Amino acid sequence: MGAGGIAIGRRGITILLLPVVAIVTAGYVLPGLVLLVMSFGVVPTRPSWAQFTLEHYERLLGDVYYARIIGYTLFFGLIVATITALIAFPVGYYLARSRSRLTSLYAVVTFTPLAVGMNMLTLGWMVILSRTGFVNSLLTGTGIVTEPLHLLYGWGAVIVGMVHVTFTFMVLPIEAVVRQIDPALEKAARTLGAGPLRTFWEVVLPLSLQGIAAGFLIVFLQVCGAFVLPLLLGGQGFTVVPIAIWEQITVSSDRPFASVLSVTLILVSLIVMMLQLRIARGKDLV
Amino acid sequence: MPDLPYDLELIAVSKSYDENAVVNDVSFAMKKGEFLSLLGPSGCGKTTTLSMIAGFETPTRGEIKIRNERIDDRPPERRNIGMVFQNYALFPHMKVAENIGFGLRMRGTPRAEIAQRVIESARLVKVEHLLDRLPRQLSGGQQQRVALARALIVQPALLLLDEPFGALDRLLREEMQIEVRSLLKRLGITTVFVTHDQDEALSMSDRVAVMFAGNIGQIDMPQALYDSPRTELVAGFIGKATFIPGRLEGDPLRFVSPDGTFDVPATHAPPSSGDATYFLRPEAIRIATNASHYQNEVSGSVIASTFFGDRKMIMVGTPSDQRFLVAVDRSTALEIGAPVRIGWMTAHAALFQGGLRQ
Amino acid sequence: MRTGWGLPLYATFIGFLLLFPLAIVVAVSFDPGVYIRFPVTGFSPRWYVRMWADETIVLSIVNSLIVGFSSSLIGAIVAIPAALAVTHGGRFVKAAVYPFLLSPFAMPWLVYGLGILFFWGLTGLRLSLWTLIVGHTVLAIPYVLRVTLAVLRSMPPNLVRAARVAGASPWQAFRYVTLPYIRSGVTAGVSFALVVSLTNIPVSLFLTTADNITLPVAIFNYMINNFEPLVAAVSAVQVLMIGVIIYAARIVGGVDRA
Repeated sequence: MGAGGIAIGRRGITILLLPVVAIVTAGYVLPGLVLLVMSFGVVPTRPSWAQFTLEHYERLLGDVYYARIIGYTLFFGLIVATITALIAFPVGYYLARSRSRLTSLYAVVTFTPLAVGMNMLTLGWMVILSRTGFVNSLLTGTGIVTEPLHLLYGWGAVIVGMVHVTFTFMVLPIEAVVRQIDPALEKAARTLGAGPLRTFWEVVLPLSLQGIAAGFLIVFLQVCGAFVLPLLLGGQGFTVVPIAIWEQITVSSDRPFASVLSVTLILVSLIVMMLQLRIARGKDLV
Repeated sequence: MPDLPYDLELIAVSKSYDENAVVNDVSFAMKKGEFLSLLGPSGCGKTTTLSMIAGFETPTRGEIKIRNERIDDRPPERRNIGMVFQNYALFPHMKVAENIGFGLRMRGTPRAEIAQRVIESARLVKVEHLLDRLPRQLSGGQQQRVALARALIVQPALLLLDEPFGALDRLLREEMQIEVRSLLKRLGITTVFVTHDQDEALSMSDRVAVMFAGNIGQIDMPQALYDSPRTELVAGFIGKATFIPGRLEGDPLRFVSPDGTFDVPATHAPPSSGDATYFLRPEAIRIATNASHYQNEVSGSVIASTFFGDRKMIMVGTPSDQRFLVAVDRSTALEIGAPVRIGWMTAHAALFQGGLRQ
Repeated sequence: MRTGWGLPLYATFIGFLLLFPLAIVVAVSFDPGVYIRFPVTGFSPRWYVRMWADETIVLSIVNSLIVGFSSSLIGAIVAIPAALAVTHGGRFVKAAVYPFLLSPFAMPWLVYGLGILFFWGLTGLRLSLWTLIVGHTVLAIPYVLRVTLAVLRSMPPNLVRAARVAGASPWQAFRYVTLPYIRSGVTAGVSFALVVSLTNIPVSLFLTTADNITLPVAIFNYMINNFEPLVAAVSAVQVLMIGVIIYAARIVGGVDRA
């Protein structure tokens, strides 16, 4: 633009973007590239083509153990996202539609899983589910069971915990999308003879799909990348990709293979992000 | 008076985006104190023209001068203009006094002087009792007054109004139009007013520039625009009218249409035979009675009747399906379907050929 | 439309479940015993007193505050211009640069921390608070950028024009009109980025040593090794800090936007 216009010209845009691009490049792009390079066995300080090898990837593909871990991770993501969607939808719908003054208080409550930190939530569920924890003391105290149940370690505990952790990410896009549905549509369906459930199934649900999908993908991403809660609530033998990466570093010190696992996880994230962008198409649902 | 400088001059100003001309060779000049409207349908280029005067857009070609100084390469803050925006654009986080004083603050005027002049400006538009309020605590009319005070406080060479009355309800709008017009006349401030509302443009302006597709179709005083539109487009845009398609034939030339042959009204240039459009304002057409005699008469029947309170308009359809709009006395009682004869004096008609008035 | 009792009741129940684990942690943090159990055996501030004698915890709180405030503020300083650029930019900025800047949000945090560890190792620099600040700044950028952009999009473009016509330079228009307008959004974004930094474990995990350990990593280390009420007390203090920050941000941010 010339001096007369007030739009920011191409040079202005570049200057405005320079600092952010510099930090993101140094703090994020370069580390990512290092991981990629190392996953091919190349030592980035003294790189040479002779080091290039696919052996670490071959190990990943050749070992059923790792195929199973990747499968578990994806399944874990799907199952948590599905459960969270089912639990969160009525809440999101309620927040969007209710005119009660309590909803602003409720909005604070829905934010707590994001705000209080993973250690707090993990600890909370550990206290609830452990041998000497809340549930077991309630059950043994009332005499329903005589021996404490094994609730803490394994799929059940991790799924419960992750549903809690990711709840906010699901409820927000659902609430946003329901807000955009004109309540008159539901009234119209009711006057045309549809009951509440029919109205939900024929009108509300189809119009909410975009929000549900957006929430589903974010939750899926969060679960696939989750580390602290699965490690502590899953216990021995519960292994997903991030835990495997951690073990490669802390136990085996196998950096190239940790890089291979990392690149795999990044690929999954990139694919989900592409899907996300297609669904969002410029709309800000989160 | 060739020596008197113009407050605003546009010389062959054009603006195009990727080869699409939005404003095309627009030229006009305004004397001090003049009130000029840019009137046209949306997309006609009136807003872009205003944006170029304000400095939000850079002309692709042409020159813009304020008080004989070329300003089209200056940023908006160095053009010394005031502007009232559609929806007012009051700064939501500033009180009324801060909003009004903003321009002086940007110019580094001393605090005490700002306070003084804010009060004066507020008095001018009668908002001196609202200085401590935030914009959202004001009514639409009050917001508009504040916006006007904010624009006027810097004593601009030129005031730009971008559809400022659009957000007001009808009664308040008419009241504000009268008040703003008389205030601006009293201050003698040169004003460019953009609107798509022709009533507003005709009632407030000294001159109106009617724009179509990036061009000024006609720039004239309001009455001249209504009485003698120079193009068929302007004639159709300003006020209501009847257009009869037909041909000029014979010697002497007569206008031939399916509804009859009419006398050719006086023209500036001698017309030539061929396709032409005959043009009549509703006031030019009368209901013919046995006692009256008009140079041109047509028979038809009433197909619609609209009552406006102070006047009444009927639509007369002829057997060839031509429709005539006729302004009638408000007490005229004519049933839909009633046969009627209408007529007009040739002097009250006009003729267009190739879209231009002959 | 009438929603009946079912929906509010259900929502309340879920809300209760969301808060329940937090309440439980607070409850056990006051247990005077040496390991966490239920029902609690008594009420004592013992562990709240004990934690201040623990050098690692005190150090980690200080470190976390330094890293959190630095990274969220640096994030804001670079993300606000970026938000302006995205608002005014062309297709490339909107369709490529913007998603790129948001992408750290979607990256698995543990992987990201690992990348930084390897990269920092290459440069020969020692792991320090700066390592964490750079890493957390990248995390902060999507949060500030998103919120700021949403507010900028809701801002009528005529406000800046009105300022410019009234005599403001581009910088003055930004300083006096745009910045106050986006203030509450920016503060919300910054406070959220700060919370993310104060609670982040996976990114920091590989990057912390005895010197630059952060509070959540310190808590994580405790949780792996033992099950004392101390962990609950420290977690409760962490949540309290977060609550204070969010509350302060609401006051600073204000709600004076129309």
